[in-house]
Formats: sequence, structure tokens, C-alpha cells
Amino acid sequence: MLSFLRQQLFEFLLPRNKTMHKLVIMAMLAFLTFGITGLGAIILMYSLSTMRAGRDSAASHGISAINSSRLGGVAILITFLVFLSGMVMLSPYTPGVVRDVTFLHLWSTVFICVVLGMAEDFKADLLSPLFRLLVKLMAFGIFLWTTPVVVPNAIGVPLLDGLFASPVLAWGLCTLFCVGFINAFNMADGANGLVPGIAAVAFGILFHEYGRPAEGVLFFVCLMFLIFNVVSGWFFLGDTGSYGLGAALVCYGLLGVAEGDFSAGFMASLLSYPCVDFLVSIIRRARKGQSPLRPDNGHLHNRLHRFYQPKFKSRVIPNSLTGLTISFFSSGLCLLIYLSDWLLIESNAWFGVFALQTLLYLVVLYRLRKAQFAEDHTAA
Amino acid sequence: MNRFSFTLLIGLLLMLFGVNGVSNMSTRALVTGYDGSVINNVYSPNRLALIGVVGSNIANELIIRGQGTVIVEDSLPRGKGPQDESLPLKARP
Repeated sequence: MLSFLRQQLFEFLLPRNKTMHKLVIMAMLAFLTFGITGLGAIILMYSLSTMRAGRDSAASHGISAINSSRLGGVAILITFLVFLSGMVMLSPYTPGVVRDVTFLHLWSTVFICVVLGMAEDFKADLLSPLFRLLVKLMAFGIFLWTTPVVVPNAIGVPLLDGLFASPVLAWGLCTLFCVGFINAFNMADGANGLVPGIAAVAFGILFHEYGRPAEGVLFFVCLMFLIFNVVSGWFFLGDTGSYGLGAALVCYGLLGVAEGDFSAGFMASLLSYPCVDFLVSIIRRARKGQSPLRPDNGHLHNRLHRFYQPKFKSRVIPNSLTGLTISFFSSGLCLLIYLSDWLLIESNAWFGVFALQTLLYLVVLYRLRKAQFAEDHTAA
Repeated sequence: MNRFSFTLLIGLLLMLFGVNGVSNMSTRALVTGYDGSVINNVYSPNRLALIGVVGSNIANELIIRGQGTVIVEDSLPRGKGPQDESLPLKARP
């Protein structure tokens, strides 16, 4: 046992291969940000990434060039549960689901989405897309119907506020929005650090605003996963992660808007990339006469990755750089404005920031598409 | 013990050790109130090793804002907050 420990320590301190190099970088970043707790989370994620279950070949994913595990969401879930269990056992903390029925309903809905995603991650195509869509519609429909406090009665957009004045219409619109947002979050999960980066920023802001432990733990877990995902690329977030994080974010976002703690424009700006990319992708596919949910490589992250790829020898760096660039210019921009207090969080002026982010998305997508079309034309 | 179980165990133990440390720190903040022993120690080596730069700053921010503690809810600090204007200047923590 002692010699095994000595060997592990020696290998850790004096890395001989790329794997150990990456592990040391991840461990250092985690220790710097969240100390021993962060280091523990990275080691936990590393051990889960070595599992055979859920392993995908590089060819089965859009821009990834290395074989990775799609159980990133499962790793996030386990790390989250370990932290939460530790808090419950080691401190006088009582989880919100026990104290407040709103949070009980909220987390039950998130749990249903996590189970749906987990079934898909462990066995691809186990559940049909229509079945998953119907279950999500039912889960959010029941949640928003039984917990009307989460449904806002106005969102600061004059045309839509007329519709939100009717509780039934507001319920229907919010249900459709929630399900659409989860699918958008899943669709945006195409580069290392893209969705984890957006989720880390969003939970960080929510935690800073409310100081609720659940968002704090989610912020910690997303940040650790971001470091792990960006440095190594050994994990995809998978359906468990994108459904679970998407559901938690959309529920907390709706609750915040309904309670008037922040504007709908702020949430739109914070989560601009998945929303805009989802709408643009649907329009692009509809124009081509394709199914709106059929996967393709026309997303901004695909085109940006193609732009970065020839500039680096590494297979992971272009992928991670793509995710970080997009998350920085979408949610990162929102975080900068929030931290510098340029705009009040309740202000509808955030819709202006969202409009700027949408414009930036369209301009960059147009220019990359034009340049890459010219490249393809020349090569042919 | 195989490699998978060993790394999993180490990860779990480190995380729980960190959570326990945060819990102790939070309880100490409640007991001492705002006497500065918790708030002023943002960059103390022990605290940095336990919860890192980001964690330590977040904990500090929450304590200053009167959230009481990072993870202990439904408990009010026994001491007075630093922003408490009713206290004479010298008595403020």
C-alpha cells in the first residue's frame, strides 16, 4: 500500500506523459480557485472519466478529435451530490427542498430531466425523441401549473406582456419556453467549456445575488467541470448535464424574473448563445427544407472551430478555445457588465445588451460562413 | 484496491475534508459574530488551502453582506454586522 502511494505521488509530481501534464495543470487550477475541495472534485472527475461506460469515439461527435466519455453530466451530478451530502452530514444545513415546497417542485422537475438525459447517455436512442419531448412538456407543464409563483405576469416586452396578462397563456408560453430552452442548451453543447462556461457564470451570478447554497454548489461544480473539460477534453457534458443544468437554470431564471429580482432581458443576455443559436439553426434548417431538430455542422461553434483548427497542432486547444471564446462573448460579457455595475440587474436595458450579442453572433457567423464557403469553392 | 477505486476514494475524502472545513469556518463566523477573525482572513494560508482564492472571496462577501454564513442557514449571527450603524464607532467589529 505504501509503495503504491509513493508511486502515485511520484507520478503526480513528475509527470512523464501528456495525461499527467493535463492532470497537474487541472489540479493546480482547481487548488488555486477552490483549494482542497476543488482538488478533490478534479480527482473525482478524473476517476469517473476513466470508466468504460459511456465512452464515445471521436468520429461520433461534431468537432471533438479525441475519444471521450459522454458521462460529464453524470460526473457533475455525482460531484454535486457528494458536496451536498457532505453539507447535510457535516453542517446544520437543511436543503431548500425540505424547507420550501417551491424548491421541492423545482428540483423534482430538474430530477426528471436528469433521468431522461441519463437514460440517453448510458444507452443511446433508448428513448425516442418524441417520448423525451412529451415527458419534458408534461414535467414542466405540471411544475408551472402547480407552482404559479414561478410564472411571471410580465417580462418587459410590450407585445408579449399582453399575452402574459392571461395566466393560462403565460403558463403555456413558459412551458414551451422551458422545453425549448433545454433543447437549445443541449444543441449548444458542441465545444469544450461552452455550456459549462455559460452555466458557471450563470450560477455564479445567481449565487452572488441570493447566497443560496444550492446555486453555490452548482457554481463550484460547473467551474471544476469547466477546468476539467477545457484542459483535458476527456468529457462531454452529455444529455444528463445539458438537460439537468438547462432545467435548473431555466427554473431559477423564471423564478427570479417572476419575483422581480432581475429582468427577463438580463436572463436573455446571460443565456444568449443557446437561445440565439437554437433559433438561427431552426431557421437555417427550415430554409433548406430539413427537419428543424436534425443535427448539422452549421453552428457558430462548428465554424469557429474550423477557423481555429489550422492554427494549432493540438487537437484539444482549438476545441477548448472555441468554447471559451463563445462563452466569454456571451455570458462573460454579461458577467463583466454585472460586476462593474454598469446596468442594474432589474433594468430592461439588458434587452439592448442581448440585441448587441445577437448582432455580434450574426456578423461573426456571416463572415466565417462566407470565408469558409470561399475556401471550399477554391479547394473544389 | 484498484486504481479507479483508489482515486475515487481520494477525491471523495478531499472533497468532504473541504466541506467540513467550510462548515467549521461558517460556524465560527456565527459564534464570533463580525469580530474580524473570519472576515479579515481572506488570504490566510489555511483558508486558501481549504477553499482557494475564489471560495475564500465568496465566503467573505457573503459574511460581509450579512448572509451569516456560507452554508449554514436559518441561523442568525450572534454578533453585530460591520454595517450596523447603531453601534458606536469603536464598538463596531
